[in-house]
Formats: sequence, C-alpha cells, structure tokens
Amino acid sequence: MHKSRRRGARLVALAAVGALALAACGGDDDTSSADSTPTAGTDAPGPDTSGAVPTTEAGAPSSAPADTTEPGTTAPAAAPAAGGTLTYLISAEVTSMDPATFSAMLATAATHAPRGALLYDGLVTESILTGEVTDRLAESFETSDDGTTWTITMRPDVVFSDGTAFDAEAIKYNWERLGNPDMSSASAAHIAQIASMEVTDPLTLEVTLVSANRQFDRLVARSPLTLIGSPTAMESLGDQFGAQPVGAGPYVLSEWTRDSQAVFTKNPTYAGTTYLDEVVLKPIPDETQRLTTLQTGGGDMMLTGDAFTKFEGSEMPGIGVASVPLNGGNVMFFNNEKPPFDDARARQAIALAVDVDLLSDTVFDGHSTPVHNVLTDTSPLYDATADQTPSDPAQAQALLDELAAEGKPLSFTISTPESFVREAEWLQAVLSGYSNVTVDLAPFAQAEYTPTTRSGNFELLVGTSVFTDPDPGILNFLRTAGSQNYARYSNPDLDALLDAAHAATDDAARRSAWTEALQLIAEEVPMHWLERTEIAVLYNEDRVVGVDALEDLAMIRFGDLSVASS
Amino acid sequence: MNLTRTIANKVAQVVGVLLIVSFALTFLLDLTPGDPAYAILGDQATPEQVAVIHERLGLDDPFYERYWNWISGVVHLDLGTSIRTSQPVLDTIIERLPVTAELVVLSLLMAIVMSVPIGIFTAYRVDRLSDRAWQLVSSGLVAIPPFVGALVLVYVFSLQLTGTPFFFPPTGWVPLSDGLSGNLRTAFLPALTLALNEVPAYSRLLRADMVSTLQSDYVLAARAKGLSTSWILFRHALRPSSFSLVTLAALSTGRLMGGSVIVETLFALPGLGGLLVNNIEAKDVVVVQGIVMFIAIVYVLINSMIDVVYAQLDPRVRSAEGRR
Repeated sequence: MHKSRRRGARLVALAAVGALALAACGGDDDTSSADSTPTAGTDAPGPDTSGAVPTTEAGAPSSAPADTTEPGTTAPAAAPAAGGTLTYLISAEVTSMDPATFSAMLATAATHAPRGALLYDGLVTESILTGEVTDRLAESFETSDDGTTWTITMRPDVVFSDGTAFDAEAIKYNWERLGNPDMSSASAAHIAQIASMEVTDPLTLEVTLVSANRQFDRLVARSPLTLIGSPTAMESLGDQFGAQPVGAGPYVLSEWTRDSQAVFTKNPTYAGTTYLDEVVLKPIPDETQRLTTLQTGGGDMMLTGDAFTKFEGSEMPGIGVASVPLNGGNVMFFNNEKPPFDDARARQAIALAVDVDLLSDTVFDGHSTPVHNVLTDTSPLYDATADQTPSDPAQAQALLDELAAEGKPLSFTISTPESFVREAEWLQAVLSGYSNVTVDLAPFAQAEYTPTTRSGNFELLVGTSVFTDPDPGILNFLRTAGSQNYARYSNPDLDALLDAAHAATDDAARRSAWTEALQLIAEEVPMHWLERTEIAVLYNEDRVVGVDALEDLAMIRFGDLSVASS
Repeated sequence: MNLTRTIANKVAQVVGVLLIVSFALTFLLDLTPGDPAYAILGDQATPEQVAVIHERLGLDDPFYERYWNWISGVVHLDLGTSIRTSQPVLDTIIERLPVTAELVVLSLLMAIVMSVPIGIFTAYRVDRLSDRAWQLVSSGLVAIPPFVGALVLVYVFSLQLTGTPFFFPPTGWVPLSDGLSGNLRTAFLPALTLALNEVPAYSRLLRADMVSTLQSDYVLAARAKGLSTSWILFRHALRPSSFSLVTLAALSTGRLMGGSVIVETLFALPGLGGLLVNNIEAKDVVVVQGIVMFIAIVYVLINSMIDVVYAQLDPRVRSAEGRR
C-alpha cells in the first residue's frame, strides 16, 4: 500500500512536469499571424507612415506623432500579395453584429465600425479628410432637388453572401427595420427623417425626406444606414441575425468566440477586390496588454484612442502609426439654462482662463492635440477665423472681478466622469490661481455620464463632443432642441446660422456659413473644446501593407489591406 | 454524527445563505449607477425610446416584484435572459464556464505544487535563514496585487523572453479542443498570476502546522527509530498537517473565481470574470445576478462538501463530534 501511494505521487509530479514541458515546447501554434520575423520589405506606396493619409499637406501639426522613419528601402511599390491572415486587436467586443445594434455615429464607434466594414462594406462612404462622399456598393446616391428627394441606384448584380440580390428592395427592408421600434435601434432617429420610400425599379429607390437635407448622403455614409444586410437572412434568423450576419461585404463571419476572437473569411461573391484570405478580430480591453500583444506578434494591427499608447507604440521599432483626428474632441459643457453659466461672461471667463496648450503639456506630456478650432485644419470646412477664444488670463480675471463686483462671485462645481478626471483636476488647479472664483470637483462613475447629460444635473460638465462633419454634429449639440444639446443652449441667432449652413448648396457656401456659425459659438461659448479625440491604428510595418492609404480608420477597408508574404 | 442529519443541516444552511446573498445582490445592483436602456440604445436615445425599453423589460417595476420574479426563476434553474442580448443567462454561463473553471483548477494546482515543498522545507528549517528569507519573500508576494503581478509576469515571460522556449503569450485563449499544448501556453500566465497570490498563505499555513506536528511525540519516536528525514517529513508529518491547507484551498475557490475577473480582463480570456465586468458596465443586471448567484452556489456547495468530507477524512473530528 505504501508503494502504490508513493508511485501515485510520483506519477502526478511527473505528469505536472510533463504538462509544463509540453506547454513550453509546444511551439507557436497560435494564429498564423503570430510569426514576427520581418521580411525584407514589400512596402506600402510611399515611405511616410505617420499622419493619416498620404495627402499633399506638407505641414503636419507640431504635435503629430514623431514616427519611425522608414529605413531606406524605397523599392518600387510592389503589387499587394494575395492571401494571408491579418489579426486586428480591437478594444472591445460587441454583443451583436447586426447593424441595428450599432451606434448611430459609426465614425466614433471604433468597435462597431470595422465589423460593419468587414461584413457589409457600405452603400456610400465619407472620407474623413476630404469630406467627400463617394459611392461604394451603390452606383449613385443623389438628390434631384434641394435635398428633399434622394434617388439611390444600386449597382447591378451585387449579391449578399447567401445569394440574395442586393437591390432597392433590400435597402428599403433594412431601413424600415432600423426604424421599427421593436428593434430599439439607435439609428431610428435617422430613419425618422425619412417620410417615404418607393422602389421605382428593381435597382432604384426613391427616398423622400421629411425636410430638406443636403447632407443626407453624408448622414447615411456615417451611420448604420450604409450597412445593408440580407433581408432573407434577417427574416429567417430573426434575433439570431446578430450572431450569424449576412452582408455583401468583403468578408463573412466564419467563427465567433465572444471575448476571444472573431474570424472573417474572404467572401467569394464580393463585388470588389480583396487580398487577405482571413481577418481575425481579437478584443483586448486593456490598453497596455493590447500593445504588448502587438509587440510580441500576437497581432498585426491594433486600435487605440489613448494618446499615451499611441506615443509608446510609435517609439517601438517596427511599429507604424496611422491616426486621424476627429473634429471636436473632449469639451466643457456649460449648463446654459441655469446660474452661474446662464451668464455669457461667466462662460467667457472660464474659456479665457483655460490654456489648452498648457493642458496638453501638463496632463498628456504633449502627446495630445489641443483644440484651437473646433474643426481640424485638414477639414475642408476649416477656417482660422473661426478659432475658439484663445487664453487671456488678464481678461479672464477682469470678467471674474466684474461678476464679483455685481455681488455674484463665480462659484461652481465641475462634474466629470472617470475618463476625464485628469482634465477636471487640472481645470480646478488652474482656476485656483484666479481670485473671485471658487471651484468644487464632483467626479462620478462612467455609467452615470449619459444620465447626467440627460438630467442636466450639472453646472460645468467635462464630456465629449466628437463628429466627422459639423452637420449633423454641431446641429445635434448646439441647435435648439438638438438631440445632444447637453449644454441646454438656445439662441435664435445661432439657429438661423446653423439652418443656413445646413441648407448651403456647395462646399464653398458651406464653409463660409459654418465659419459664421463657429464664430458666434466662439463668442458665446456655450461649450468650449479642450483636446482632440484621435483614432489611431498601430501596425506591424514589416507585415501590413496599405494602412497609410486608408481613408478612414474606424471603417477600415480591409479589402484594401494585404500582408507581406512571409 | 448521523450523516443524513448533517447533510440536512447543511442543506438548510446553504439555502439560507443563498437567499441572503441573492437579496443583498439584487439590492446592491439596484443602487449602482447607470441604466441598461442606454447600453442598448446608445447615448442619443430619446426619452421615449428609453421608456419603451423600461416598459418592455419591467425595469420600472418595484424592487420586490423584480426580485420575486427573478428568484422564482432561479429555483427552477432559469436564471433569466440578458437585457442586452436576450440570450438565456444560464446558457451563456455554461458557455464561458470551462475557461474560468480551468483557470481556477490550474491556479489551485500550481499553488499547491509550489507551496507544499516550500512549506515543508521552511518547517524543517524553522527559524533558519531560508525560513526567514521565505517570510520576507512571501510578504512581498502578498503585497503585490494581481494586476501588478500580471504585468510583471507579462514583462518577464512575454517581452523579455520573446523568442525563447519560455515565451508565453500576453493575451488570448486557445481552448482545450484546439490542443492541450496551446491551451496550457495561454493558461500559464493567468494561472500563475492567481497562484502567486495564494502561495504565501498556503505555504505559511502548512509550515505552521508542520512545525507543531514535528514537535509531537510520534515524530520524536520516528526519529529515535532512525527513520530518514524525508521519510518523516513526507510520510509521517505531511498528512496530519495538511488538513488546514486542504480546507484553505477549497475555500480559496471563491477567491480565485473573484480573482479571475481581473486576470480575465487583463489577459483577454473569454471566461465568466470578463463576462461579469462587461455586464456590470452595461448594467445588464440579469446577467450579473445570474453569474454572481452561480458563483455563490458553487462556493457554498464546495464549502459544505468540505465540511462533510473533512469529518470523514480526519478521525479526530469525527470522534469529537461523536462525543458531543
């Protein structure tokens, strides 16, 4: 009996050691993209991998990431190699890949957008830099009048991956579904702009809006309305469609282990070209771990919105950075409806006291981009005369003294969700250097952010106001009764200017109208922006080809990417 | 001492504890900030849309009504359906359970494999340099929270040891069905993180028991008989000293399941812990309640089993109970 027990113990120990040895020597049988031996570069067209897109812009903003310069290899751009697997490390998992569950504004939903691009491509797309709306799966998307009637014509012979025809009926079905209250879709608000839809011939859909909107195609391009799924699949799968989506995009979902990985394989019936055989999406919530995984070859590309992570990645050898700043950014919402910020002077005093460059240097070590103008300087609507009020401490103090002299010295509480505590603390510290102003700080849990914006239970709220185009971006935030008018601002003069900008016919007219509106906003300061929000993609330079040609880093066109053959 | 009576008592205790846990859980979740309607609809939701969701999911019903509806489902093994995905909670839990279960079992095994030799050795070398050194090191280990420990391990095994056979991936999970070696490689760092938190307690507990056992008469007799040191340590002293360790290890399952929350988030593992975190953030209370109840049930059952098994294992406990 003793002997058998001793033998038993030894066997267990041996098994444990053996298991560990197996594990260590097991070799790299993770996803095939884990091999990190760099090959002599097939390289992307052009050596510059910093900034967003190879544009003709010479002057990158001074706080653009100091990127690794390409080591000399400027071989003529080789044709992208077909085949291979790309692993994209993303920041969060989604509950469903049904466009009805996606965020209403895809550009800022960097987790929904790539899944949308992979599975559904899009009817139309908007370039973040040029602002141009171009057709993708649709052949044309035009308005015949002032923007009340829109005609969408589909390309012939486009099919979903299950064989169903992608025709005008499919678009109508999808949009009606988005507007159905039972679907509880965030896009229902967009669909509410549509008065009626009519299929005039199999490939043509005529859409009549409730009121004229010249930017309707832009709205579609930027929202789940551009993602059309197969009506046959939606009918037969019901609420399982989100787990077994069927679209007309470059890839189809072949395997999905939630919170582990989603594997997308090439769609043979896709109407465009694809190079990669497979795209694997892996959600890794922790920023540091995501970067480490990229560094150790567990992924080829990763997404980040964090300035520090982007900087760290850019310093690593072999890692390239592509980033796109969005318009707007994080922001101070004043509550314009009640004291003390119903008084424009109080708002102006705060805006004058805030030096956004100093904020960037102090809190973000210079790695974030301060907002001087609501629009980025690469935006086609940008105009330097519409800059926000620059910092002027003397004038700020003068206004504060004026308010105190009237018997109401400025005293308020800064409300902030967890994500912006650093900015709020900095604000409080800066304002403590002024007299006649008292500031309290009230941080709250992230989950309270939306309820707080809804309830108006704040005096100054540090939050987020990000958009790709001020239409409907600024309209939502600052027009009277706008859907995101958390600042509770109502100014008939501004409304008139915003309406004029909304109705403007061409880019030049839009630009001057928006400049006027932004100038009034800068004067009245219902909101004051602080730092840019950037979407950045870090990638393995030796392996991934085509990132710098991407026009949008949220809706990544994976069909245009390839990997260097290894 | 009557086994059936012991078990009946245990069952009554278990049910009582679970009722208290479920009530406290539902109550606390009610107090947390957030609204699941916004998680579904996004932050541009209109008040009308929010009202529709509240109506449909009964979110405005009074507390006791919601609690009663939920708990009456639980006793029928129906943990409800997720607010966000409408999937049955029990199905989701069973889908994710293998990952967490494997993590807990592996870390328990690793902790025991590391602690037993150390515990024995430091008991043998009590108050000497190695014992003192271990006291220092183990205090340090206890002081390191799991999320720091995890990042240190990642630094060592993923970054510094890249390209060597000792490289372990920093994130990801290869399921058992895809191969044992891949699975163990992805499980190694997470399990080690959790194990290192347990090793100080286990080793010192074992050491303390061993020290007192080694002072007992029968050990003295064994030495007088001329038996070898290792024979005495392993054959005579270890078994009677190990009951506390076994009890602690079983009780640790609760703590390990809780620790898996941090580890699964950091290492991106598709287990129950990560599921819990995501659903707390989205305020999908049904899923959160389901997971916590599941963990509570498992924990309470294990503890009760240990009590019963303990009595069978250690004759001294049995006779003590008999004398009462």
